[in-house]
Formats: sequence, C-alpha cells, structure tokens
Amino acid sequence: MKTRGLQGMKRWIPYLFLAPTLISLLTFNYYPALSAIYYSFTDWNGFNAPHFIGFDNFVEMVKSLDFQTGFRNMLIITVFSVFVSVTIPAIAAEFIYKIQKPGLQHFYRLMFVFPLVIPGMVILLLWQFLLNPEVGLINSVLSSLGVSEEHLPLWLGSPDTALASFMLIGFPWVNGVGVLIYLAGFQNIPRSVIEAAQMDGATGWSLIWRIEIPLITSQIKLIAILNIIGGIQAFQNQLVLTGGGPGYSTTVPGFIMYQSAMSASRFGYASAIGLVLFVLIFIFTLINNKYIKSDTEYSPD
Amino acid sequence: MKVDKGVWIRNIVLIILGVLTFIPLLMLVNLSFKDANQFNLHRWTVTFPFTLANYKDAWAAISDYIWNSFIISGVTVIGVLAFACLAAYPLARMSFFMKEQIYFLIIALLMIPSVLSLVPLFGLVNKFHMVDSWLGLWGPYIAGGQVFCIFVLRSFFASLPEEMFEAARLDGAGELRILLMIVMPLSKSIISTLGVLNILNTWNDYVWPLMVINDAKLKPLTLGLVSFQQQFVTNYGPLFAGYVIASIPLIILFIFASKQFAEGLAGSAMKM
Repeated sequence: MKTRGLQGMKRWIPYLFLAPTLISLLTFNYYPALSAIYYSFTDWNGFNAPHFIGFDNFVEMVKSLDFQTGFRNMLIITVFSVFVSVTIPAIAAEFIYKIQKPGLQHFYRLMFVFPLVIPGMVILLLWQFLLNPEVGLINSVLSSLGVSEEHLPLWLGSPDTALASFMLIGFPWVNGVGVLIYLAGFQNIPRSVIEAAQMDGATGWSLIWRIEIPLITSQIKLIAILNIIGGIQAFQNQLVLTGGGPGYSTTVPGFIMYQSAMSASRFGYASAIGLVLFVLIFIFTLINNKYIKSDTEYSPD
Repeated sequence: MKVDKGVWIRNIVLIILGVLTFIPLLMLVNLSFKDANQFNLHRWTVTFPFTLANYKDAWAAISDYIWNSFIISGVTVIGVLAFACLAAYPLARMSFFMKEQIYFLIIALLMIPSVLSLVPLFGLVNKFHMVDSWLGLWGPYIAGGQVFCIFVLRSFFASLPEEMFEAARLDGAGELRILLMIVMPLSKSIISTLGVLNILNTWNDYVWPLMVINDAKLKPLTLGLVSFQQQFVTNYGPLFAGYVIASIPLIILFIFASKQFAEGLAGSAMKM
C-alpha cells in the first residue's frame, strides 16, 4: 500500500516541478499574447468591456499618416542598424582573429565587450548630450573644424536631422555581442580548410571572400535577424529622446502603439499595431529559420 | 615584410575603433569631475582640481534608485533560475505523459516577441492591481526570463551522465534532492552565466517599468536616471557623476563574471 502511494505521488513529480513555470507562462505570456489577437478587433479602452469592431483598427492604421511615416522611419532605422551591425563587428572580429597573439586578442576582445556593461540608458543620455547643439561634443568638433555657427546642425532638434541623429548613436557601432559571435564563427573554421585554401593560392582578399565569409554565413544571418527583430520593436530612443518628433520625424509604429495605449487609452488600436509588428517579425523569423537550418551546424566548442 | 604591414594595419584600425568607442565614456568620466566653470571654459580637456562634490550630490539623488533596481533584478534572477531549474530537470531527465507537448509550449514562446503582448499584459497587470508595485515587474520578468534559461538548461542537464542519477536514486534520494545536491552544483557555471544575462536584461529595461511604475519611490534606475536628468538639467557635473555611479554595479558584476560572461554571451547567442 505504502509503495503504491509513493508510486502514485512520484508520477506527479514532473508536473509539480513544471507547475510554477506553466502557471506563470500561461498567465503572463500566453493569455496576453492570445488576447492581443482578440483585442486587435475591438475598441477596448483598457477598462470597459471590449467591443468588437472588425477590421476597423487595421483600416485606420493603414490610412493614418503618422503610422505610414512611422513605418517608413522604422524601415530606415532597421535597414541601417542591420547594415552596420552585420559589417562593422565582422571587420573588427576578422582583424582580431587574424592577430595571432592570444594576449592581444584578449585585450581587443575585452575592449569591445566592456561597453556592453554600461547601462543602455546611460549610453543614450550620454549621446543626447554629445548631440546637444550648444554644448555637445559633436558640434564642438565641427566648429573646431571650421563649420560656422549658423551651419551647425541641430541634430535631435530638427526634423531634417533627427532621424540621422538616431542612427549616429553608438558610432562607431562596434557592437560587442556581434564581435563575440563573429569571433566564435571565425575560430570555428577548421585550420585545415584555411591551409588547404592557402595551398591552392588563396591569399588576403580572396581568402576572406571565398572561404571565410561563406563559412560565417550563419553568424551573419543570426546577427541580421536579431537586429531585424530588435529594430521592428524598438521605441525606447523615441520615449527618452524625442517623443517621436520634431513633428513625426522620428516616430515608429512601436512608439505609436505605446502612445495609443498609455496616453489615449486606445488599447484595441494599440493591440492591433502590436499584432502587425508581431506578424512582420514572425515572417522574418520563419524565413531566417528556414535558411539557418540548412546551414552547417556548429557544435559549442 | 608584407605580413608585417598587414598586422600594423589591423592593429591601427582596431585601436581607432576602440578609441572612438571609448571617447564618449572617457568624456563622461572627465566631465563628471568638473564644476560649472571648468565645464564652460575647458570642457573637453582634463582640468584640476577634481570636483568630488559632484559625486556626493549625485549619490544623494540616485542611490535609492540603485537600491530599487538591486531588489527588482535580484528577486527576478532568483525566481527565474529557480523556476527554470525546476522545469528543465524533469524535461531533461524524466519521462512523463505530454512531455514533448509541454516542452514545445514553453519553447514556442521564444518565437513570440514582447511587442505582441505588451499592451494586453499591461491591461492584465492593471486588473491584478499590480500597477505601482514591484509585483507588476517581477511577475512578467520571471515568466518571460525563464523561457530561454529552460531552453539552455534542459540540454545541459540532459548531457549529464545517467549513472550518477541511477546511483543517487538507488541510495534513495528524491528528485528534488538530486536536483539540488547533484545537478545544480554541476551546472554552476552555466546557471551563473544565465543569471548574469538575466540581470543585464532587467537592469536595463525601461519601457515596462515606465508603464507599470509611477511612484517615484519605487522607480528602478533606468526611470530614475531620466528623472535625475530632468532634475539636474544643465548642472552637468553632478549629472555625469550620476551616470558614472549608475554604471558601477554592472561593472562590478562584469569584473566578477567577465570570463564566463564573454564566453556565455557568445555561446548562448549561438544557440538561439
């Protein structure tokens, strides 16, 4: 009897172990995610009962001028961020990889990883200061180079330069995570492959283009997809620096979503924007997964 | 000769990239020691004497926020790791009904970005009366943070040798005991890497606390920094001293975990 009771209890152990996880995920992840789909078709204000309105939110979104501008801004920012985060860390990592001294390699790696631990908010507020038209570093440099007072850009303060200022943040864009990912990729290339290519006469550029870059495509894709996902969702800079302005020059759909919910209490419309962004991300992830799976698998170590 | 030239070019490019990366940070430290006069006259050069009073003023304004973030991230990381270890263990080492389906249910969330659930999640937290309470941060942070950890820990736990588990079970050890006394000590380094990554995420989060926390006394550091910046506006010395102080906790964490951190970061990113 006693052993049977124990056996009976033992069967429940896995479920007991999983209970906190499942309860928390259903509450804070699945329920909101699924209800987002439902709310997208309602005019819910966050408090009263949601009221079904069909595709009205989506129609409004497509017709709305600020959403269109925001969508265009998001595309520009994302394309730019994908471009710089795919290329520049790759160059840095390639150079570090080619320097054959372990001590020096370690030093450079540390140099690019260290900025990761500075809180993102500090970096952002610091850049806000660097971009400050009156007291900032960038205009100080420009005026010492001979740019006259009236030609100094207003950076975040002008609709013409605000979006470009966003892209300038983080210059020279040597992202530490990217460097580490690429470095792991380069170091995973078997020596024999490089040596065989060198025997065949591949040197310098042809070695890089024909051998090394094809062998790190999974790293390139990983960094690209991470930045696409991040770029579509990001609106922290807008919240902290510009409020989407001046005018609508820096607004993005994520920011419009935030404003619709938090300032206008239009939770239905906000959910619809969230759903559109999710679908966009999902499509990119699917495309990417299809390609990554077909690639060479890297074993950790 | 040719090889030599290549090495020089690489080193020079890397140094230039490094210097450009560090200029903002060096300026931050430099400016944090200046009084108003030094700021206006010799902004970009090092000036003496250092105005240490900036740090005193900044600390008074910012220390509460650091403490808040400490508790918010601390409770989150303990919760995340506890939930994740408990869940990953049966998924890795036991067989039970619906195991694959449950694992899929958890891992599928890696494909769902936060932007989809952000707004309804706020509605939910509001309904639970968790607005203006750290519970509104801890709940979603722990729920969301555990998914990636379960993914990594499950494969790590599965790679441990089976004989150990058999021996422990023969000795009559219960599953919880095996998890606590054998599995977790053996997984210390991967667990701490996951912990550091989780702390980095919650410590740097801005949008969710902005939605949930209005009470100034409860604000985490990210929100605090923005209020702090509005409070000191053009009082640049203390402002930058505050930014330096805000950076120190993570730098300390980095020094303690730097090796694991660098490797774990690349390793875990690769697995995504």
